[in-house]
Amino acid sequence: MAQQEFVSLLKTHQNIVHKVCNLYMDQHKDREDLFQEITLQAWKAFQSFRGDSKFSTWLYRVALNTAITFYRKEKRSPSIYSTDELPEMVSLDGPDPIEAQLKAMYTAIGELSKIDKAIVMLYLEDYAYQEIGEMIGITANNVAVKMNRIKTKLKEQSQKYMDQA
Amino acid sequence: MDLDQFKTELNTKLATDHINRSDADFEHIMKNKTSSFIDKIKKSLWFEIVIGFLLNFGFVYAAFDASMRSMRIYFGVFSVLMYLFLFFLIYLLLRTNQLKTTDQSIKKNLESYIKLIEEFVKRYFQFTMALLPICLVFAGYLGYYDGHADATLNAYNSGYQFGSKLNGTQFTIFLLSFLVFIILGAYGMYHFTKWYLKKLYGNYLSDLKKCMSELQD
Repeated sequence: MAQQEFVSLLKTHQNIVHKVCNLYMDQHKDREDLFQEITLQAWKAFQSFRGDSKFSTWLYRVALNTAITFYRKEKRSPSIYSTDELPEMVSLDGPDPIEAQLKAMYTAIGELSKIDKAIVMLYLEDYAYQEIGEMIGITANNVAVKMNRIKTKLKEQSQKYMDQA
Repeated sequence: MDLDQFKTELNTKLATDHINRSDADFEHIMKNKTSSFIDKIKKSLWFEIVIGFLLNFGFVYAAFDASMRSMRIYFGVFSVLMYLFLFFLIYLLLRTNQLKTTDQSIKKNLESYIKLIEEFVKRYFQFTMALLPICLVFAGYLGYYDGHADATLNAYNSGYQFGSKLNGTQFTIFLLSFLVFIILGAYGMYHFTKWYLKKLYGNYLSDLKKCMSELQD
């Protein structure tokens, strides 16, 4: 019964798991492994889910914790976030500058640290700084400071990629 | 270019590039085993506990059955220490099982992981180092003692004294060689253990600590 309920909830919110996998892993095989790990960890933790928070918020927490502590035995290469590959990647987009900008920003996000990625992900989901702080374990003020730094870093990095292209 | 400018597009981009999973897919995934680092530690602990108990049966048997007195003492002491280590491993396993991490905040989760792995590595290292004097000095001493006893007995039977075979210089050379053996053995074991633990847990631990330090900024 609990398993059916869990599967149904996870199926509805699976885009959260996919987002985390896409953000933290750049290779298909690693994404698959992480997807499986998040599903299993979520299922293990589901017994303690009391519904105090929304399932989506709870799932974000489980997924981010799993992604941050995920242990990858083999380092696969090359990475799509590699700056060496970037000019080619961006230049392929040629006629659509918006798409090129988006890819540059996406690549810049991919280069952030694991913690910064988590903050960006929750920010993109429109969580308030207070909620982000609770999920990360820091104060709302600290989130605001970090978010400002991240925005500046992303702006500079993505601009650099666009200039290189 | 600003992050906010692409908020919607980035969200869409991250959410795409996947195939929607069905109920059957999820049920299939849930039959698999996890491969988290904590689960790897758990597996390793279970393996060591089982192997440790099996080996200790052999040690206890040798402690009672060995013909040489030094071997009986050696295995006797070793099995007592091994039991202490097994209790420690069981304690670590219980602590690992109590780790309910995934649905707490990222900072708390990292703290629990770091604390557990650090303790695991620290105790492991301490135990291995504590075994060094026992394995090297104790084994060497007992070996010499039994060798001496046997030689004395043989000497008595054949009519000459054991001590007469080793003059002052020879005894000094023997003692120096024994000391060099102990120092080199201890040095090698110390560095090997450090390297091995770093190889197994070091990189992962420093990765987690890096994340933690970001949160403490």
